[in-house]
Amino acid sequence: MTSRAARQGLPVTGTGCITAVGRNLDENLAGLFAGLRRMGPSARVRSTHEVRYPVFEVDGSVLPEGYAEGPECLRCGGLALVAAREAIQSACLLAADLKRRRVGVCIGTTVGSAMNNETFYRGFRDGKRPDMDAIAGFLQANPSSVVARELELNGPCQTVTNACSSGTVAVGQAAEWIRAGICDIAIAGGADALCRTVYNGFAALQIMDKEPVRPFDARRCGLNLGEGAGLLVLESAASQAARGVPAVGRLVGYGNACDAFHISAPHPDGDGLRTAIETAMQQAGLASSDLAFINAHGTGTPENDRVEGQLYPDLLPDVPFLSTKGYTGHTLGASGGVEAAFSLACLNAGMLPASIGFAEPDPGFPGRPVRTNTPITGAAALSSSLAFGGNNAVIVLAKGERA
Amino acid sequence: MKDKLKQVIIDGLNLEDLTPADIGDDDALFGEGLGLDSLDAVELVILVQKHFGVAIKDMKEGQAAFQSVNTLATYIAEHRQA
Amino acid sequence: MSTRFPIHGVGLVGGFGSGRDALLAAIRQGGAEPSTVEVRRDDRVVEIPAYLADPAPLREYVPRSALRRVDRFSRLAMLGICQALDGVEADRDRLGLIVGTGYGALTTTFKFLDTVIEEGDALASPIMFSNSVHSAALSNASICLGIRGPGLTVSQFELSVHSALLSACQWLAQGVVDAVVCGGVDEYHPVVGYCRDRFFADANQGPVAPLDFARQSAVVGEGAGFLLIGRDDGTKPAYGYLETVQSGWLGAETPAFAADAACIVGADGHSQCGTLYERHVPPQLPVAAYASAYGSFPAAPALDLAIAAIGVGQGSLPVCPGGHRSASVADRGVDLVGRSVSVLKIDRDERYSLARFSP
Repeated sequence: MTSRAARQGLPVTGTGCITAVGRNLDENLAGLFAGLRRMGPSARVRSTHEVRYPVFEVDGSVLPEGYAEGPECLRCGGLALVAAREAIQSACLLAADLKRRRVGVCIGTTVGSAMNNETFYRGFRDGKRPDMDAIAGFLQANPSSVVARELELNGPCQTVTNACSSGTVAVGQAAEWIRAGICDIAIAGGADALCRTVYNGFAALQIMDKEPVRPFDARRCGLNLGEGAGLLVLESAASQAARGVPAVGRLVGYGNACDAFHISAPHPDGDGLRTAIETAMQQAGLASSDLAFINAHGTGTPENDRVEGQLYPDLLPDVPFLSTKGYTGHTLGASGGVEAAFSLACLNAGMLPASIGFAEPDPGFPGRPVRTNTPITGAAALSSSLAFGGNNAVIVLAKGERA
Repeated sequence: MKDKLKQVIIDGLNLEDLTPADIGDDDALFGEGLGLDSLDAVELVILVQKHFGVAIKDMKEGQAAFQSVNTLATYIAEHRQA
Repeated sequence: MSTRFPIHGVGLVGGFGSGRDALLAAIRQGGAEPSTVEVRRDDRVVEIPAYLADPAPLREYVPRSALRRVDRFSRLAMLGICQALDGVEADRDRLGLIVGTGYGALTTTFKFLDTVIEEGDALASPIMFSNSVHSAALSNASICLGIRGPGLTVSQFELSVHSALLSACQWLAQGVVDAVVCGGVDEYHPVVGYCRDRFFADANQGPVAPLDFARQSAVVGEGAGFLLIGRDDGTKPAYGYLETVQSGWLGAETPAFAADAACIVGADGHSQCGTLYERHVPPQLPVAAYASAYGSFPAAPALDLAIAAIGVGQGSLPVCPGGHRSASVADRGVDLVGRSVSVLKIDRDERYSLARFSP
């Protein structure tokens, strides 16, 4: 990778991540390289489906006070706060630093913005007088607002609700704020929580697997839901230089394009994904030979994995790829943020974890994810997210100075 | 039962301009013909369970049953006993 | 870098009907005539006014067969988007789409919960779930209209649309798109009416008096508003230019009003935010508030932004009905020839966003 391309990107100075695998990024990485799959029937989300679909659930004891109880949307804010605090600390930023600067917050979510509290709605339907706490909770729950409020930040606030591409989009959008000089620092990524309505919805669509998820495997038949948060601290070059903090990595490219095809199935040829990848790579000034790996969306659904498994060998030949959703489940709005944090960590570690859950290649497409922990030497990676309804978002990340 | 099935399909999938008379018993429901797609298919599974009490556990079974009103009616009749 | 973005089209739907002329007519008449909705209060039913929108005119743009699975939330948005695009050539591969929404697809979300509650978890509707996500409006619009550029759905309650507008400016400035359709949509639902009644009881009866800042007088509404925004190529646009979008926190900074001729404030009869407008807008700056034409809902600022664009396009802001502030636009309208107008929204956390339009 050319040094010119490396300089073009925006510094990432901090990362934070919480998933079923671990409460912080180090725990997550250790779990990935150890092949840890912490899934099972949900302790919190109950349903009367015959099948108890496995989920990847976070240990709620780490959530800040007030965020574990109450409506599910509030849990997202709590998860975002945990990841935000880790990210800020890893960026060597103190509360006083944050107040002195313009700091934006851009967080992707699905559940964090959803008014679907069943307890409240049942009470409403039954003609009772339901407690308004669920509504008050919803009005306080917007994840970007939660982080901005708790950390007393003065800068733009945006919660992205692009369904499954939200986290990746949020990282790309926050970078645009910094480039435009609207803020010097931004906290960006995604946060999402397990939720009964979402669980029932995916069950109705028949795209959840009752077995542990098998991304890209010939026998795959759906996703497992997960929850968590992954956030990056993005900074202007000037701000980073002034603070003298080494970069965890750099964001060098962002692409966003719509399939305009179907409300719940991806474009069969991956048209929107192709456009998003081309845009991101062009912005990064990179060729596919510069990529160490692709962190695929890889949900484990028949259609999604087929589209990616067909496209990557064609558009980015010989680039290793994996899905990390075998470790975390599909964390919906959080996935882009979680996967960005993972990608940077893997680049710096010079190692990819196995694309866990994959065993048997699918003869229907040429792509084969990495089967074992794999050393890598490249300095850049691509992370992609494909959303329900056809939005495709891609970011390109480069290695940092903290390898 | 076929007329009820046609009405369930029309109402459940919001085929506003159609009446049961417009759907031939052997007309293709998916692809050409009525033009339903994969999302309609999973909705149809729910509609069949709700209105006829028959569960389609496997979408491969579903695909064969969903060819036409005739094939679906036959499937329902066969599985209704239980 | 002083980049400005031409506004080529507007799309508007709400309690006033649909389209620019319907909105201006309602404003001239002193407001739109609200409908009446029923709200349960314990064991009885009360009636409250509500500015309800009708997406039926969407049929003039999109055939009914294409709307088979498209719900009301998406249809309201699509009507606004189609109007904004009407009569303008736009390369759909280079067209971005940004939708702001505070509450998302309420009707479908609660219908989905109805199926879960009445029929059981196993009989939940997959089509309804697909339409219940906030991004469904954008997805449906993108699919029906073949829009393949970047897409973004923003949910930030009453700052959703301003936040969307900020992102639109970035996409245009960077040249990743040639144009963006940007705006917002929100629906009324009986749950919203019920919550308003629990919070505000008889104060929901209206009429809305938005410039009476300390009084709770908000009337609930629904609707959609969109702008078609392009890149400056020297040709004069129909609706003036978007100059800037600023956002921040009033706890740390004051909005910069510059030499604006007037400010359209997002006061909609909610006194909690109303007092914030009174505190933070300089007293000598004429203010206008048009909530009597469309009511109170999180995406309503989309309509304020459209009025600002219409205003700079025609050279004057419409007379603002029913204000009492001495420097209000109430009596005269405001001459905008050569002057800019700003559009301000403040939320309960005292975060603000200010958009500026100029001829």
